[in-house]
Amino acid sequence: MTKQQTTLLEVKDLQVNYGPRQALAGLDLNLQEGQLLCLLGPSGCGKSTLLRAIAGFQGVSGGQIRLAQQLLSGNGVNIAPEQRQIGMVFQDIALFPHLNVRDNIAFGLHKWSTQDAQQRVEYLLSMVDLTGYGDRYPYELSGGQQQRVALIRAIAPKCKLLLLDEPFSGLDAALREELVPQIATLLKREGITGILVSHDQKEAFAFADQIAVMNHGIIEQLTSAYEIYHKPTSRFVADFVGEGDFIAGQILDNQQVSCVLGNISGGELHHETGCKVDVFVRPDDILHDDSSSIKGHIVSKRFRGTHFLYRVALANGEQVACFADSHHDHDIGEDIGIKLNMEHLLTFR
Amino acid sequence: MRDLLSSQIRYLPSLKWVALAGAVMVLLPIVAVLQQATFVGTDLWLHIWQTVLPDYVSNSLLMMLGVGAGVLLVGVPAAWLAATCQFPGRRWLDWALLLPLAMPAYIIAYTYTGILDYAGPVQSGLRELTGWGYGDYWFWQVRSLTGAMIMMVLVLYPYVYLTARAAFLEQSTVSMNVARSLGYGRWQAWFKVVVPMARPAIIAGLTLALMETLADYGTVQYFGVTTFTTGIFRTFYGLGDTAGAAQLAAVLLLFVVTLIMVERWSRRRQAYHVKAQSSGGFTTIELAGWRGWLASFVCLIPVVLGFVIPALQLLWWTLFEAHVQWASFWQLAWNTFYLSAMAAILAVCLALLLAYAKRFYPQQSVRYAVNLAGMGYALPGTIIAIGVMLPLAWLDHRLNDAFVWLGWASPGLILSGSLVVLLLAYCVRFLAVALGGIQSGLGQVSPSLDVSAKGMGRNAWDKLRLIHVPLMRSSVLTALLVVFVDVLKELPATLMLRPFDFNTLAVKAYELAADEQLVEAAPASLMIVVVGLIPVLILNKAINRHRQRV
Repeated sequence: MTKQQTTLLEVKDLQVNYGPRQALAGLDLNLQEGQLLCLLGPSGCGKSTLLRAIAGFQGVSGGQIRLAQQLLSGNGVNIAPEQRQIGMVFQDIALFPHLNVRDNIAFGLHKWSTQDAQQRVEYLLSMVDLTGYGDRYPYELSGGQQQRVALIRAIAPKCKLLLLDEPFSGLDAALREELVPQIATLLKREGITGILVSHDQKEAFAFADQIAVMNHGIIEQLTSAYEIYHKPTSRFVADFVGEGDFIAGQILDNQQVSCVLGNISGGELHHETGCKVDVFVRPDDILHDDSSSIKGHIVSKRFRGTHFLYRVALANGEQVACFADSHHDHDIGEDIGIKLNMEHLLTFR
Repeated sequence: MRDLLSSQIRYLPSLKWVALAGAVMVLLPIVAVLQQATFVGTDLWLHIWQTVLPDYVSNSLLMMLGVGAGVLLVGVPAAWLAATCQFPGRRWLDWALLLPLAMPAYIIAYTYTGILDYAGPVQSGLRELTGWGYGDYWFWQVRSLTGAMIMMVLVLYPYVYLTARAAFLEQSTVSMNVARSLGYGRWQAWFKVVVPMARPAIIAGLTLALMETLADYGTVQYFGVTTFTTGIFRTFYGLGDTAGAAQLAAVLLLFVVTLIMVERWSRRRQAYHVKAQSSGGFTTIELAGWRGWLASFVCLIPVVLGFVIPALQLLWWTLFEAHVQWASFWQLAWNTFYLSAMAAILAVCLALLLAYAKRFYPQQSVRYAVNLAGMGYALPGTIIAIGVMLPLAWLDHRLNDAFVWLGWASPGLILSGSLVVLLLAYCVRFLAVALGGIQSGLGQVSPSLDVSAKGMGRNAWDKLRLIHVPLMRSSVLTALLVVFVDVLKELPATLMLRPFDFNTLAVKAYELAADEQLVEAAPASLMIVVVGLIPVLILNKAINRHRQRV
């Protein structure tokens, strides 16, 4: 895969204000052609506002949005949504109830010849395994089918960029798990650049090449799923993505930190020696080991089928979560041995 | 579970038969009209068929066409603006747009005639300004087919406004955004998506407005437009030809049935539409600057023309120009009041029995019967009048025969010549209104409440007293009030069926207007409008409650 990387979307110092409230506070974002990005963050972080601003449904208070070098928003320019060539899949699916599936998909192909439009519709239907469903009406489709129709309706006019505004949030978990990677594969195959808005990290991991974690109107970190999970650069990102606990520690040197779990090393540390920090510990950093000298007192437990998730209290009262094999069934109140297995040491001041 | 409940009310006279009786009552006038219409062969009917019928058909169709186009043109844009946009005065206009509902078409027709005819303030002012005299200038004749259309549009657009507004609120602005993201401009999106999606709801409102157009007698009669209703009235009274009138009524019935079918069909489509939509975030479109003021203007015009101007004119006439004889006025008001109250109580009691019958006996036959009983709203007053008159007159004659046979004094027309015939006609026409209110109220008393009351060892009467009465109270009161006001405004059936020398406010206004005493008709008209405002305000409150939930 040696594809020339060109920047498709360029967002610079973007600001959006709702009255006195700042929804986007000088946000920067670059997206390469063909990439799938997920905007991940808690509700109210500004991710939907960013999407709406890119689509043109939301005016901007400052900064710029460029698509393939063309200025869309900013500097007094505000191109109308219908002229941006940006497709969008909406949260509530919003298929047109008065049109059948075929007419829904062909809706954006009004400038195409009838024959071309028809071919395009049939091709797209076959892409999402809905061949033969063209004459049905939206209310005759299941939730997942409606979702797929909404997706191909958005990509039908060959837009430059596809925006997906939490389109999977209305589906049940099992269906979502099946549908999200399918759609990611489809977009990849079609070479479509896409931005998904989500508050669900599983969905984000299953969908995107790049994940941008947003908080308070800016992007806190933008990188791959792996890096986001294992190398969060801020306390917020560490806490928001995945599970984990902060425990108190003290920097020994640029390699080691001491805490209730002993002296830990792993990677370069960028804090002064002796300074107090919080060490971020994920459940998969701590393994259950009966032979270990470090003991934890089980406070609560949750059975997850493939494994147990125990919460254990340590000697100084701090608590961490710990995974154990699903055969290691212990009772609440029991003491169990734990050991550290940390590849990425994360410390925050 | 149902058996458990119905077992408790077994000792009541079977509600099932009440439901069937209700259906028969509504069917009775239709059957009577159709039966009478089959007495063919009168020369008069042939005469009518050859001379005036084409006129009736074409004028009625023209009225429907004009009024239909007008209510769409006024109602749909106003509904969309009020439901999805933000502009100066929106909150206020949102409910003010319902005000013309309080204005019966015949009253607005009388009022505008008074304002716009030769002696009215507009033309007098024009002459004073320009120094023209009689015949020097051309002025639009309000008493014409176009005038009748405009009057009807001004008071009937709220039907379209209401249904379209609800549909626009439901689809929110997402559908428009979808269309725009697919390359459609604002206006294109409006015509391609926003309106078509609301189409079933709009058609439902349109058919209601058209039913009212067909049923109207006061306006077209006053403006000299010959339609079915004026034809029926003339044939029945002027020519004394019952069979001819019934045959005209039968043809009119054909129009009505078509409208009912269209309405049912569009409501079914609407149900699908709602199902396909999930609820989304609701955003409004901000209309700033001149766009906002234009929107305010578009919404303000129907309110001003349909309510403010005529209401102020009526008020002016009543206060400063009319010579009100208070004693006879209060007599009139009292007549109207007790007649309307009796009709309201009768219709609501019947509606309660029907609604409970449907709840406790949810069988196919009972459901059909109750639905049929709710069809009377579509029947024009003129049809109902003939339809109830004929069987009651027949019954009167049999009664008189029986009395004579028994050697007693003949009692006279105790049914067809008394208030009985009027009350029956009102029940047929307005049962649907009562039934609608009661059924929606009863829908809020969840069947599980009945069951839980039973579980707590309460018997049927406790259940009724402790659960149903408090929960149903407000819907019963609303239904009473709405029927009361509808009866108060009703003109053609009252005109045809009222006992000799018995007048109501509506009839008095009609008679005075017919004598060209428009100013003297104002106090009665004003009273009808003011009382008519009450259900409009209640409706507005109900809509606001709904909106807060959305």
